[in-house]
Amino acid sequence: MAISLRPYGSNSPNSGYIAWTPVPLVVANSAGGTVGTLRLNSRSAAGSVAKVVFLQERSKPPQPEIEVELQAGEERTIFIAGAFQPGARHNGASAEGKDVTVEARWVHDSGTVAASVEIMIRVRRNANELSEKARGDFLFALAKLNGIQVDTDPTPGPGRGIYVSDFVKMHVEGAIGSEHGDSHFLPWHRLYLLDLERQLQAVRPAVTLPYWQFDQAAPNLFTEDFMGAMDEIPRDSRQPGGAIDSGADTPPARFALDNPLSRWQIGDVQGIPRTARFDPQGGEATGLMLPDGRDFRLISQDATLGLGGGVPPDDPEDAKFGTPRLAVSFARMEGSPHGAAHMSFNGRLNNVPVAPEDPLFFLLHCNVDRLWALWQSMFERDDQNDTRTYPYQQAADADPWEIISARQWPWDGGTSQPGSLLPPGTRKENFPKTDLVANFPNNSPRLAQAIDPYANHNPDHYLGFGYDDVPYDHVDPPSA
Amino acid sequence: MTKISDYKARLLQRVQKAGGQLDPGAQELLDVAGSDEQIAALIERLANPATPAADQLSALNTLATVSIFSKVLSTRSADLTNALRGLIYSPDGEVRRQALSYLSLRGDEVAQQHLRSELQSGKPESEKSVPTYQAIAMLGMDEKAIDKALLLAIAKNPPDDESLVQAVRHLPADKDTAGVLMAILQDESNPIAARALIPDIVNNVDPSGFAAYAKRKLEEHGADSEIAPFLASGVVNIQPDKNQDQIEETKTLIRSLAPASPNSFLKAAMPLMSDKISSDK
Repeated sequence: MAISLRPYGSNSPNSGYIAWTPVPLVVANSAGGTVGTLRLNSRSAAGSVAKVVFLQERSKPPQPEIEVELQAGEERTIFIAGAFQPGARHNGASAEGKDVTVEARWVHDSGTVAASVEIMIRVRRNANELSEKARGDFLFALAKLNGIQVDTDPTPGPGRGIYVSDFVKMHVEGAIGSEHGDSHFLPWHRLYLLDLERQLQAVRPAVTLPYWQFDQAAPNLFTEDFMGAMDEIPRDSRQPGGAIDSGADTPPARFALDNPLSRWQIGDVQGIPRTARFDPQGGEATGLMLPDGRDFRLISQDATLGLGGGVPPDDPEDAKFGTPRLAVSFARMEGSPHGAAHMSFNGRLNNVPVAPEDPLFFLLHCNVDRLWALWQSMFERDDQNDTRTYPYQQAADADPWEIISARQWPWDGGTSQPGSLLPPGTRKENFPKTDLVANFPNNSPRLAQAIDPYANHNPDHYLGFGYDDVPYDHVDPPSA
Repeated sequence: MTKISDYKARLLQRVQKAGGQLDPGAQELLDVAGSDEQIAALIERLANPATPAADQLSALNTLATVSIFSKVLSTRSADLTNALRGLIYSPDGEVRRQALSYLSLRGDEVAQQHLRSELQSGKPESEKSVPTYQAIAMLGMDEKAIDKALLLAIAKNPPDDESLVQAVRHLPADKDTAGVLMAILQDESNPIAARALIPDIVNNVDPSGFAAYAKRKLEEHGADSEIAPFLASGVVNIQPDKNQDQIEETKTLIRSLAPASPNSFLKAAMPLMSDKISSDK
């Protein structure tokens, strides 16, 4: 074909996956090819609402189609992004695979497609709204990382995959300080999620981490076909059957036998102990009542987004990430909703050193990360040098591993702080590389590199993921 | 095209209505999490033998909750461990259970040794710190804390059904365990919760032996028995074996039973049905 379309300027089979952030699309004409103007637009597959928008430059407004003048042998770079469509399914993201095609036609021959490329607008979606295929792909990839045999490829066996050897063992007692208790909590976990997501995508490229929006009912999530059906226990831990338990006295979640999670193991141990302090089929998580009578309530998304201040009539310029110790700071969300979401269960989830043994952990944390991304988007807090975006800018501001320039355990190859653990499994300087978006020197990320994942502030920061309800901060198109 | 600025403005309006405050309980817990003084006081309550059990439980649960987001608590972990070790012998069963659970989750060797000793002892259940099934689950949080011989001994002679289920749940799949597990599977007086776990443990240790048993049971009782879906699942997940004929015969039987079977059996058999559909095409 004389014309070629290369997302990210790459020939990689993974280049057809984009999110809301503009990425380069190289339009190339062969030597001796036709000269003229190409018109590019996108065509949605049957049943899909996904669309691509085009930008002359990253900093220009998105438009539904674009014209590119090309000489023979010439390459031009424009930008493409998923079209954010509030109110559409997944706000316009792809439901389960490549379902939109970018097509190029010569203006003088508009009946003929001169070149095309299939695209998936691949973002993290609400787990309660996943299609059956998207759910199946996620479970397949997750099971494979656990070591469960799900196809003819050899695996280490249930409970012996990288999920256990690396990801469970990254989040253990000796590493709690490296990961929790202060402002580094959110960026560290963003990196942790991205590491796992890239492993999942190596198994099935269309997979993204789904998020459990814990302040809404998720009847499609807590089923035998997805993350497991489970018993309800009292919200009040003083009630019979309501005592806090991390698995010794908690029955396992129930899975259909064709759900690969029915074979989930951690080492030799089968099953995922889990009960809920809310109605898994009809209610949202609400935290718990502690024995001392304290009501540890999970706050709603809207309340969470207001924790950092700056909500009118206050000046939005005052919104700040802060630290959990400040009365007004977004970082207080580490307590609620984050902590309250964990404590809405009995089982592994309510205890830090073993919480990731239950894979629901990653859906819970994906929602925590989404809330941060949404807050960042609303208040434009993605400049890593701005203390309102991240408070610890200088060495004297906090512990060394909490400073914005700090490399992070375990990818740094050092020991955890203050636990002195060596990196588990294969994680030492081994953050999964990508040939499309940002990589980290020595495959070892710093906190700063988790601050601007959409590249709103700096194109070099793009991490390659998005959320279905967190848009890229495009320049608005001119008013009609 | 919807302007992104309009979308964000709508979000901000919703946030404005919500207020943006933590509830008092959550605020208090965040304050505890960040206060060395308050954490130290809670640990002191645990360490003080004069503290009533209800207050110990209250302190223990508050500490367990703030452990999810407290930087201060991790600096006091040695004090907390010492205090909890002192509660292993508390006269209050729930205090004992929660102390042992917290310590076990963190791989505490003193708690593990205590639990192991009780499992190895001939003590009646009523005299143990926690029931056998809970002790197994606590030790199972650290794969090095419980050995196969001890689990096998419990599986052969469990004090109750819950303990049998937990022992089976924790047993590895190997030649040493397969015989005991197959015996438990075949004994229909055992609880289904224990038997149902076994097919996916033994199926790849003795594939043809397991397939032969599954075939016999399915021929005798069809797809309607409680154990049938689990037998089908075990056969579906067998890896290729040198005695493949036995396995294929069992798979053929499962395929023939599936169309008129209960939903649970059909789901277990589904991968075989997909194979059939593919090969029919």
